[in-house]
Amino acid sequence: MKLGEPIVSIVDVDKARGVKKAIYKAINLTGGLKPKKGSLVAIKPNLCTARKSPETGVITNVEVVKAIIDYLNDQCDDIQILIVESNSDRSADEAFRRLGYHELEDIYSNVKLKNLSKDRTIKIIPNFSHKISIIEIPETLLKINYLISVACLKRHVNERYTGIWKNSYGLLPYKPIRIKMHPFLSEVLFALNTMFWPDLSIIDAETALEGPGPIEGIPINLGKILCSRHPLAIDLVALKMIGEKCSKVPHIKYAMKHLKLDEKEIAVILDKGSLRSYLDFNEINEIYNLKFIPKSAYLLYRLSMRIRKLSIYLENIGYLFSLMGYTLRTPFKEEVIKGRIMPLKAILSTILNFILKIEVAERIYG
Amino acid sequence: MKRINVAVIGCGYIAEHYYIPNLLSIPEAKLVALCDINEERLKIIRSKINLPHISFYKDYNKILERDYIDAVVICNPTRTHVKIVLDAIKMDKHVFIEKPMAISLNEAKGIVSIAKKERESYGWMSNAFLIHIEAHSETLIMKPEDGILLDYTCHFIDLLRWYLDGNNISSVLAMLYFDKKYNKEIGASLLLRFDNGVLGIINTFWLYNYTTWAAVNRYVGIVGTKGKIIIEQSDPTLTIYKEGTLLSRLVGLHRIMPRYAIHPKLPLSQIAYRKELEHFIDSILRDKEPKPNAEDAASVLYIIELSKKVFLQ
Repeated sequence: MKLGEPIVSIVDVDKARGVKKAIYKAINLTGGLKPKKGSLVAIKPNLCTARKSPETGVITNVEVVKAIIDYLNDQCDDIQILIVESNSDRSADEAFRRLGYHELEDIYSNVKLKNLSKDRTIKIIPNFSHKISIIEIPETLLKINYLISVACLKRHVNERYTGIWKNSYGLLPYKPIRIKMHPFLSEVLFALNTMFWPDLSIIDAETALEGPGPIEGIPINLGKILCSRHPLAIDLVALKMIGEKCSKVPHIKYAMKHLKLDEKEIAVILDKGSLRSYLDFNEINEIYNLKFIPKSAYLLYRLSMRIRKLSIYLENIGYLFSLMGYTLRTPFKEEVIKGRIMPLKAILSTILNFILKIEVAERIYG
Repeated sequence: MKRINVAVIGCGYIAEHYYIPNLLSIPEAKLVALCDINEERLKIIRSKINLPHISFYKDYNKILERDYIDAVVICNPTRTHVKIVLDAIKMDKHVFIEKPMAISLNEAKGIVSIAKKERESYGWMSNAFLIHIEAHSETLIMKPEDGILLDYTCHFIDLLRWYLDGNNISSVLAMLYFDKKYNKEIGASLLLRFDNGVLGIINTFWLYNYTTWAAVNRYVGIVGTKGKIIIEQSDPTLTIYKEGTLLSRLVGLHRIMPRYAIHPKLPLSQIAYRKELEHFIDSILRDKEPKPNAEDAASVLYIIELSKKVFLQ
């Protein structure tokens, strides 16, 4: 797997000059992105609700996405751009309409909005996951040539923080499955991000969200745009910026462990163009210390995840019994018992995999 | 709702476990009659499927005489196919034949010409081609009565022709491996060239006396100028590489599961049989040509005979 360099740019948003300048600068500081002619570029904003205004820091401001589209069109005049999002507490179509995204289709002839929840789905077997056996994803994702992830900087009641790494969760088309898979969020996010590693990751930190995010928090003005080619490095820098330890955020901790990303490798490049080590962050940039919910509330959230995790394993055992019942009533029974279909050791390993591996998909049996 | 009344001729293992259950699960089809020359088989089937509207016959002619029967699914041994098919076509029945169509090309040609003459909407499905793909190996379960070309390789010639619909095979190279005990070919390697320049390579082998299915491996690999796809049957997944896409750039070959598969380790055979029957019934209902049809099947036999000739030369 070819990953982007862990260089993160941080640019101040000058209100007088608008967000566009900041986006251009942030992207160029990380080396820029020049899509090939005829390619399909997907932009994934964070539209987790349709009932918050863009100034609250809950959803990606359409102006940020507009600036990215302008940047891409400046780089190549023959590309198609898809703004992709799936249903959340409202349908993605409603979010597109109410949050001003539908206008993008009128302004730009090469931009289309895509509600991933309405797309045909396919079940994919992730290459780099020990835990996830299948993920059901929208078919559109198989066709895209580039992905740009545009997230907000927010506190999250279950995870302490949400940024780019978690933004990919919105690539899963079905909301009930997303909710059900929350206990395995770290594993699912790892599988998704390693399959759909964004070519550009941009955090709209003009306004961040503290307290009980990702929807009900309190907006805090930071006035920053962060950009990187490495979705995990950008989250680590954002965490540093809000005064949170990366080891305390479960999905970031999991990703760091499995990607073997060393913090020493991360470089930060500031507005003025000087490249500094991530370890010196405290010296070069302000720490904002975003507040979080009470510890007791957070611990209850985590406990609920543990219990739900267990229930998913139990459910797998239940499904396994159904399949075993099916096998015993079919003509394959004899073949299975005699070990002709596969040797006993292979059967046991399949059974174990069936129980311990997680299907992030709608089950069609049982 | 219009339904197609179907009869099954030949109630062996494949009919009992695949065709009959699948016909019962297609709402547009109504299984109305079953026929087998062996009374013991009929008794077994009757004990399992004793629906009042299903009639049981020993003589298939009785089925063909019934006007209300629209279509017949023929699951008899290959050597008995031709006569039944010809009789069925003469009696205005739609015909679905379990592969292969016939033992020889001449027999197959006979079926095609009569079917054309009668201007019938004839049906032919050699196998579950909609999902089943190619084989590189297979467990030898029974005696190789007709040799691997007729009994097994035919599926994959059919499949290649389906992929390259509208293109004829312009040249054939063949190598066969013969079994001394049965004096039949149990391995075949074919290299086919189509009109449009595409090459088809088919390697089929029966794995002799293997005790488990662990070595069974069936797949199709399609290589294009900008992508590649590998379709596996025993491990029902599609492995894809599409040049330039984000996913291929990041992970290279990636595997996806067919829509109807329930698990990457569980075979799809039941679904494949149902799909081909659904296509057959749908072709009759919509009065359209099924794929593959009788001509396709005859072409497969032509290639098989040509392969044998090429090898002997």
